Amino acid sequence: MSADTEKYLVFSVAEEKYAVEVVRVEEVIEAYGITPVPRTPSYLLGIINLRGRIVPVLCVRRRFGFEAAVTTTDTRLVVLQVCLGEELVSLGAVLDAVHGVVDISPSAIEKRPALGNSGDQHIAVTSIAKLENELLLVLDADRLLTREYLDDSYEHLRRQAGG
Amino acid sequence: MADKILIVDDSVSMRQMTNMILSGAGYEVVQAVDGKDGLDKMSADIKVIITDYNMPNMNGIEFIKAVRTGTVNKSVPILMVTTESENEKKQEGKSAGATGWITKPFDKDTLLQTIKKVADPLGF
Amino acid sequence: MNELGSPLETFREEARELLEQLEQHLMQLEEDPADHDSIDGAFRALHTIKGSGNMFDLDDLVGFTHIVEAVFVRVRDGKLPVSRELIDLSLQARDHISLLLTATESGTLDTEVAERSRLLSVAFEEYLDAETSAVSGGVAGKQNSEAPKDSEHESEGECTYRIEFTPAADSFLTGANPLLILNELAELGTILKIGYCEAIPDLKEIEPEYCYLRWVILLTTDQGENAVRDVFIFVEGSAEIKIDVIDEADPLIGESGYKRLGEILVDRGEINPKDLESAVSSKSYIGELLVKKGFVSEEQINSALQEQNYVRDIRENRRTVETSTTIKVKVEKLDELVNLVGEFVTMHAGIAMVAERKNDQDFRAAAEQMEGLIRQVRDLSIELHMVPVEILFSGYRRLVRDLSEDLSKQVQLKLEGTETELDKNVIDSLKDPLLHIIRNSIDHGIESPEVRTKKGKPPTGTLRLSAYYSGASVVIQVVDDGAGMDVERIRQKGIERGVIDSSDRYSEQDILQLIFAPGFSTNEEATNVSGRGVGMDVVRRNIEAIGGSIRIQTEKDVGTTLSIRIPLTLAIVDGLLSRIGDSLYLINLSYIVECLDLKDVRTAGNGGDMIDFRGEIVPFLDLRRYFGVEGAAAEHPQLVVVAIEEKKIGLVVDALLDKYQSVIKSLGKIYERVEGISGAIILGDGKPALMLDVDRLVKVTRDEVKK
Repeated sequence: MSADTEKYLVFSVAEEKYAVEVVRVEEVIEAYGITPVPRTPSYLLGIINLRGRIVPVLCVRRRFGFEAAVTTTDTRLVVLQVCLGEELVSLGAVLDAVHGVVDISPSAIEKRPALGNSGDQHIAVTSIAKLENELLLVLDADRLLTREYLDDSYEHLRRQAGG
Repeated sequence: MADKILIVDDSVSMRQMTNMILSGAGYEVVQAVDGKDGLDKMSADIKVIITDYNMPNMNGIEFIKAVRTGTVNKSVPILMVTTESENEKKQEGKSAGATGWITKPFDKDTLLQTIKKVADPLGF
Repeated sequence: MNELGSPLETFREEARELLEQLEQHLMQLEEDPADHDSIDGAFRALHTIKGSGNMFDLDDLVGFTHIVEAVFVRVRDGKLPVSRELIDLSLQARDHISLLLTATESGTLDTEVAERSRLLSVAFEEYLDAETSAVSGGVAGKQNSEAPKDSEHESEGECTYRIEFTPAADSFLTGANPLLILNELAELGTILKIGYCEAIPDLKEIEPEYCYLRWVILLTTDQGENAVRDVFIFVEGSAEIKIDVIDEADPLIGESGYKRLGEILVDRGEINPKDLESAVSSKSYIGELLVKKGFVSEEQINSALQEQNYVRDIRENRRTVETSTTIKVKVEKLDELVNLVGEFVTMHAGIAMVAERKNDQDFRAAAEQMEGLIRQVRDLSIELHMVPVEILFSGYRRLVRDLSEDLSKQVQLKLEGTETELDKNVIDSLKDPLLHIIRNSIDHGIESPEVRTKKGKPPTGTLRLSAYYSGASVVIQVVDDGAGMDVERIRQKGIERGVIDSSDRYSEQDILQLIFAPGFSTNEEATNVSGRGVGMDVVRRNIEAIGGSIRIQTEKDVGTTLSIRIPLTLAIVDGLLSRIGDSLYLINLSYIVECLDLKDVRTAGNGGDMIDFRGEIVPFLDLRRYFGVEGAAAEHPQLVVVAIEEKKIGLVVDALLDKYQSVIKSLGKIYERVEGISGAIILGDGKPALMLDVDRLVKVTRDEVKK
């Protein structure tokens, strides 16, 4: 592979394959030891202890509007570095499976307009990588959870609780 | 075995400076931050003690007196570092049991010569 | 040591710390001019700066500091009282030394600074009497000027001296060794040493630590008398030394020298070189005796050793307390330590599980022992990160003093709760916000003495800095007894600016919070101290950045109180672990009034939403319901009665477990809007658990009742 390729982590969520830049990935661990936090949006699964650090965990399936899946031996927790507002935070993302790392040349990546509403997967997928024998949805880690979406979710919860 | 010298001074930079000179001359240096610390760091194999006069907790005079009335290495040569040129301080040090003194500021040669003046080459 | 930079850098750093100490001592002296510890401390700080500075040839710094020090010598010796003027001057000197210190970085001193050195020196010299000011005229001599240098025999060619040298009887006790002096003399030229052993008593009467020897030395040298005297410099005053010049160049003339000493030597007769040799060799004789001295009975030695160990332990303890503030450790290192200990805990939990599974008695015992140790290490590492707010508070003394002087106001600063401990990082982030608040209080809050007198208040205003624990938070208050804020004026300003409308839906607190808006100031006329609403928006931003909040209470002509509430992000909390559903929650013990079995408590109120707690009707909150936990309720729910500022509520949980001490960690940005949870802790098995936000729960529950 030529030097200007980028490394991507390939994973799957709800039968679809995604890729996310490896530079955003802090680590890949078992989805184990998650403590739920009550009164939060359903896509937030809780927190984990990552070597003394408290890291929030999100369920990518629920975030993308799918039903949550049963945890299997393939289920993984990928700790990503994401921008939230003006801050860089660690966010754990629970995925169905992680397949490995691939090199993708920028020429193989095609931009596509962000489609759909903020509640489904398309909002966080801004491009598609065309590999030899498959297509990968390229995840923009910063759009996995935005300040606005988070605020809306809390607002929604409050209205539900109030009404 | 390098000769061991105990430096008792509350000033880090003084200790650092003295340590540099002495280590460079092949001495082994033990450092203490005040008289009390100095007493704790006393041992039978210390060849010379260089102590400051003004220190918190236990000043140089009290420290010298404590060494002289102690049980460990009580007749070790002790040099007191003073900035004063008056005799008063030196005499106070002398009567407390200091072997000699060295006047700040001192350069490398003065320090090493003064140590030579009091350090017993025969290990007396 | 190796971690430090060059000695000069170390010196600068050290000198800055000493200047801080000096300032604290001076401030203390202002309150109590007779405080000996502060006088000593101030002197010592100056003295060390001068002494160490001298080593680095920092003449400007040393020269100036020397004069200030000379004044403090007089203060210390009780010859000069501490006056307000002297403290003023000394504080200026402290600032000037700091300036000179900075100048050592560039190595150049501009004329302005040099002129100031001169002016301040003149001012200080007025405090010195004629005698001392002569000493202060210049920097302390760089060379040892002890021995008279102007000897007429200096370097005048070869000369023979007769030296009578009688060491003090106790000279061995002062570490002095006459042999070294003899050797040193020998290096100067040709020498004849004659030892006298007659004073050595019988073996049974001998004091082994005493020196019974004396010498007559004939020395021929071209080094001058000065060099000869220099050899004796350390024994001068204790030993008897008599130096005479014998002009004949022939060293053998010594015999006649001996005869001149005849009266003392009558009993001994003539001394020949052989006797001399034996006398010199008697040194090892005494040495052996000294060794023998060590052969006191074993019991005595043991007893002495015990005493020594005892005293050493006591001193060790005392020293630990006294020097605890002087150890420097990088905060990042402490952070790392706390994290590593956390991992340690997690790892141990794993080991304990294996031990349990293997059911090996020894393995389990070892794991248990390890747990105890880890707990100690954990507690210690947490403690290491905490510092008392005194460090923060006392730093403002100077500010308050200078500011009130600049503004011609009289302000008394009072510090309370200085022992309250906070995370070092939190303390650092509070430094600037508090500075702004204090500035504003003195500038806009406290009135001039005339205005105060007119209002019937004491002319001296009081500014109080206090800190106290409030549950999982520390509250820091800045209280002044000044003019108070004009709420109506702030409201008008807010309407003018279009920040608020003219409706009455804003509470007083809402309006007061406007002063934290960027560029908002009610003062038509900006002063050069606090400027135009300077930094109040920054103040709020800084405090919010560390998860804190700020509240204002104000009353016209009575004063203003700013309360900053900061969560203990890294503080240790003693809590009670409770279970709700499958999850564990920590409740801060300091809020808990009592724990009861829910079935033992009578419900009250119209809907049964209140409980009767010892005759008091208290609302309660079912946390299962509040947290939306599914499934059947516990068989024996527990009621935890908590109180915040006398406001009680009951919290219903499924079960109560252990007491638990832990570091509270922030849940981070993503969970900052969660209600009822204030943070997370890490349990012994490495799993996180949540910390109940009792403050919030009390508010929510009592608000609910009001409706």
